[in-house]
Amino acid sequence: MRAAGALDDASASGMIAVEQRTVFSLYEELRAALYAAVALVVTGVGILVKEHLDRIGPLTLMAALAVAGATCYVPAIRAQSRTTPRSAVAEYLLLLGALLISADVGYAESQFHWFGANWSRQLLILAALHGFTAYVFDSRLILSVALTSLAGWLGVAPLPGSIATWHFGTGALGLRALLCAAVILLWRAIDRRLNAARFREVFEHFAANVAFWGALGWCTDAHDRLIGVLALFALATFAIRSALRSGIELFAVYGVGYPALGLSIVVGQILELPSLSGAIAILVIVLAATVVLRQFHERLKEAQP
Amino acid sequence: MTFRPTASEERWLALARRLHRSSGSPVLAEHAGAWRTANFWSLFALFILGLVAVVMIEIIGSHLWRGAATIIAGVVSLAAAEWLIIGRRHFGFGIEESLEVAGITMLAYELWSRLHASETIGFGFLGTALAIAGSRLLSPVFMTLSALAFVMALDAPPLGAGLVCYAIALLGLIASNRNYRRPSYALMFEYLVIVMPVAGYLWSASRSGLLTATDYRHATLSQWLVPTCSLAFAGIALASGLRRRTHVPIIAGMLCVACSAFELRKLTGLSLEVRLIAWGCILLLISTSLERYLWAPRRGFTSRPVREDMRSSDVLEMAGSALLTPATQQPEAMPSMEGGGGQFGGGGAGGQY
Repeated sequence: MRAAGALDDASASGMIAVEQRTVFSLYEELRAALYAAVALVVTGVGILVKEHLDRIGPLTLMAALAVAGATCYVPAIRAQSRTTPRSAVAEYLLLLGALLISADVGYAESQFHWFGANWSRQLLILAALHGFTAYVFDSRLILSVALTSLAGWLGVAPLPGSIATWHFGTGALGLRALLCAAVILLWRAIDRRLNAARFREVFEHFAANVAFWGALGWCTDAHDRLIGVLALFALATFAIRSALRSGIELFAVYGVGYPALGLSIVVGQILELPSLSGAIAILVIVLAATVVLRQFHERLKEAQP
Repeated sequence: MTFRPTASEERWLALARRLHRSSGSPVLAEHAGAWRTANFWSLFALFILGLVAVVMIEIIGSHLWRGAATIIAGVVSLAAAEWLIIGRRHFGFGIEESLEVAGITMLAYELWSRLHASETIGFGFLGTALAIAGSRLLSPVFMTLSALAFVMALDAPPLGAGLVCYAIALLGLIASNRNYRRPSYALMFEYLVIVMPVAGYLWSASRSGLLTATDYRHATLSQWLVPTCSLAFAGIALASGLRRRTHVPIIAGMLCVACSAFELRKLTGLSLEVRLIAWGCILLLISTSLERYLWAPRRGFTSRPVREDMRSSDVLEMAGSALLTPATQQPEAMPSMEGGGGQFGGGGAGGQY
């Protein structure tokens, strides 16, 4: 491939070094270990806050979480000030810091009710804080935390439990999901102008998934089915256009997979699935989705170098 | 007629996938034949779509040909899969894999149910079906599932079944040290190295119930075998991975350490939250030390990414961060709000710290 000019010298020699094992990187293993470490600490802190409120005292707990959270930002700040590339440890400590600050703010609100009936505004503050931090440190992980907080403020719960029980299955919650997606896309448009679209993928993945889940929720509701199906097709058009523009195949998967799922849900409800007509209709939907996805896959592959 | 890619074609397809290049690009096309592969997300989506299609064929069959629905659905699925492989040259594309495995499994199920054989023999049939599908499609996933089904077919006591899994994993570790002409053969052994020790732990630990923590301060020798086997395999796998400079044994070793830590959770007598925070901090410390130690490469080992694409944040990483974000619960003292009650924001927020 190097001889044919399909691979530059640097890439080729890098690949040869990896193949011959003269260089061996433990980067991915470290990232997995760091993610597990962050998950363990955050889960432990969550249980600690829940179980030992009375024994520790709110102020002590808040102060401890704030100090721990702030300390986690130190390696990233140091790397930033030295203009050196941030290590994986610094990146994941930054994530841990953001999550501890989120837990701290949430705990403080649950104790002192600063926002009263508008308690969820703390999530907006967290979204703004993490959004700011994400831009300062150029961190996609922190931006993901910010967008999740934003979705929480708009009433779109990110937990899988809400999906399993079809909590999205009301018109209002579907609308909130679409509103959330619209806000994220607006943010993306601002990012495109001011930040050279460095976070474009993060915004687009979040917006696509939130919007599609909202539309799917409508499909599960007998009164909103039609709007749900129309919304799914409109969103699918955007997703596929995005896939063709950016070359990211996952958007084509969203654009075909979600409508196929939504249509199958609607057909399954209307024709009562174990019936012959229901099974034939869903088989047709699945086969059509397969053909369409295959076509987009081929088109996207052809566009590759 | 070509039944599968040649070893050379398979190597070029693997290279195309690793370089994120199209197998149809001029340089690769002449070496990779006209075989079509899909990347992870398309493969996953097409695999699911194929499975749904098989279920629908089965339902249609149950309406039209009562009593022979499974056989007909199996034959139709198998024929469709073979047409996609031979006629359309799909390899690792997702849909032909789900159709093939579902078709063969359905036929095996039908045969087993007509023979009125025992459940143990049923697992043997399942293992054989998965092995046939795995070897036809050169799929490491189905070969690993086949190994698990054969262990089930042994009907051994939990500790015995666990030890068999560790033995298979060790054989996989030895076999993966060889160079194979087909990348898929190496992958088959590597999958066994990762999955079988975890299955071995789960099997052996299931004797006393996975969620019931064993008190190892008063445990018998056979009870100690559960974490010891896992730790021993972790040691062997980590040593082998570092010596051979391959990732798979290291990942298997890390998983086994996690299994052992979970198994020995009651050993310290500390509360759950303290254990979680302590383990998290220990893991952070180890990772930090290792990263610093290997920041400048030592004997070829480094903690830095060696390829540019390793640095890029992927969708799973974003989803992982979103999953860890604490969702805030509505304070109990506040009046309850219903989702969609007109208040902008917050009505639907839920979850736990």
